Amino acid sequence: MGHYVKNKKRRSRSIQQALEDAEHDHHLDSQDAEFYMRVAAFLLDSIFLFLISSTVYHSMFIFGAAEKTTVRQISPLVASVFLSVYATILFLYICWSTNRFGGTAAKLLLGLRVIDCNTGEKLGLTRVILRELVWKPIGILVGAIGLWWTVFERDGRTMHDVLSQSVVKRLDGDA
Amino acid sequence: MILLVPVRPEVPKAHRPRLWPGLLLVLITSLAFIEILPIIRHDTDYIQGIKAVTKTQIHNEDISKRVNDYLSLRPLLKIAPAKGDWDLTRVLFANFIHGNVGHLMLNLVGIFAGARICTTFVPFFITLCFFIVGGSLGLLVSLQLSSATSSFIPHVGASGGIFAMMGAFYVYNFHYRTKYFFWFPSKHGLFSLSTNWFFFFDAILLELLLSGSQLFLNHVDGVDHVAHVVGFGVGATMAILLRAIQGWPAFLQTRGEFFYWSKIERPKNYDPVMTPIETWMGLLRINPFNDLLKIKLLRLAVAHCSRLSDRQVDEIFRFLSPTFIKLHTPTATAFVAVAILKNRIVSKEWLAGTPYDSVIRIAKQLGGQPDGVVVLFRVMQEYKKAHPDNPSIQRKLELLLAKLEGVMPQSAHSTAEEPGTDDVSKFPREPSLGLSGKKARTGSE
Repeated sequence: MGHYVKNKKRRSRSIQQALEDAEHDHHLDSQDAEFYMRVAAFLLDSIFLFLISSTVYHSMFIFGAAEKTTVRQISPLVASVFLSVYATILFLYICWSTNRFGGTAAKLLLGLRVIDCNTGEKLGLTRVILRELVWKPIGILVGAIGLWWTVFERDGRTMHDVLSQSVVKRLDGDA
Repeated sequence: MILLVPVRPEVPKAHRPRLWPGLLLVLITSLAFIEILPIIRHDTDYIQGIKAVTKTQIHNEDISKRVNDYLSLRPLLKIAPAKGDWDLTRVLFANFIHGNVGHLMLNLVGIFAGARICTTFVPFFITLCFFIVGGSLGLLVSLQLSSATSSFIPHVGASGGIFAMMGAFYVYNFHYRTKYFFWFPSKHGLFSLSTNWFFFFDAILLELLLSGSQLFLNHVDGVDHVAHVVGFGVGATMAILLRAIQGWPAFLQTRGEFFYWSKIERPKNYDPVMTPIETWMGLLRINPFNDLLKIKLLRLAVAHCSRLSDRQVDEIFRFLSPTFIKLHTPTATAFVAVAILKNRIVSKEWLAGTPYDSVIRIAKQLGGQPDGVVVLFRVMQEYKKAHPDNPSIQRKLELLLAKLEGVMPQSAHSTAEEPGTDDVSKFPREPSLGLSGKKARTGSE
């Protein structure tokens, strides 16, 4: 079970805000996500992204290749359009969904949420972009130091969690 | 699809598919592979021999015709069909033939999964028919549309049949959820997703693209995508026809529900409200995962809450699972609101078993409506009473109630605090939660 931290936020001005605050407090109070759960979510995300990549790749092949049969022969214009589409999908999948819903599709399916470690709110878009596109790749690529960080953190947070002031919680009622 | 394996539809434990249909079909396919292994080895050696011959006579202008003549005599064609040499028997047997161990292993996973999930809805014999008919038609169409360099390349494999079983499952479980396994060795390796859109995306969309690539761009990767797509279509079509013949309504998921439904007789003292309510509740006792039935029941219950007995109200509350509340929050909230406004007893068992997240979801729905504020306060109070020994819930609810008291209109607050009032006239007659004013449906649809 997570430890309860009464957050010092402004007084609620409406019923909806009071309920939002209650939800944030509940999320903060929930259990920290175990490392193996985060690995499971990562694996599932990889599968979803592979399906999306294959769909985009083969669509590019069909709509852009015409008579041609190799990727190298697809015109640069078609390739750049599809790459833009793919980059947009990746951004929406990884960053926008974490900002809007509190996690990627896999995290949501497994009952995990990425929240601010102090307030329990969802992260802003800038923080999500830094967390997912800067700190996480650095942590993984530089000798997986970001992952080893969990050994030293009391609540099992990784380097990108600490740097973005976030935490991944497990909501039992949601999975 | 091999990365995400559909394990079963989301059904109660008693309706879950058994292991034996999948294991039986796996056994048949494995035995068939062992039986024809010598022919496959002989065929492989024969092809290697052809390659050796064509290399030494590479400048011979008749090489294509000669290679084709050699290929027409390959051993595998005795048991497997090709575009230039096929018959119905070999097309049927091709469903059980695989070219190598890797091909067999991948298809065995699909065979086990497909046979298992299909037998939730239809008997094993019907599943076998889906497999053989769908797979055979898939192979046949693939043979005719094949544009391979030689018309003597055999088409083999169970994947057309596997996709036929998937197509049948897709039809039967279209409105419900499927449990998937993604090779993670833990109970968390299982999760549920809606069948109608994700199954299509996972199982067939990519195959449609790949078969288009195969047909129009001549991009051959050794996988018979056309057979997959045709197999899926044939399986789905057969399932639709079978359901039409059986008269299987769209709102029933499992065979248990269908058998119960088919034996129901219209009572002599038919009541257009209570008879369908009792019928839906009877079906939900068989399968409490059926969200379509819950929605039908809740709509009737909201419109006629006063006529329900305490036992019925209590049972309806217990059908409001956390997943249903998450996916159908407005419908669940409407019933909770009406029950409280009509001073019905809120099931303590339901309150004790409902997680805090679900209550917050209901509260957020209520908080967005002017009539819902009073109900919200009562829900929170009832939930607090149902968890007297949980200090965490008590603390959170006290904080929440304190915040709500600070922002709620005074009139709503004082009305909510009056306990046990029978005078419902001071409450709105119908909550404006999207259901008032709509005529209640009868159970005759």
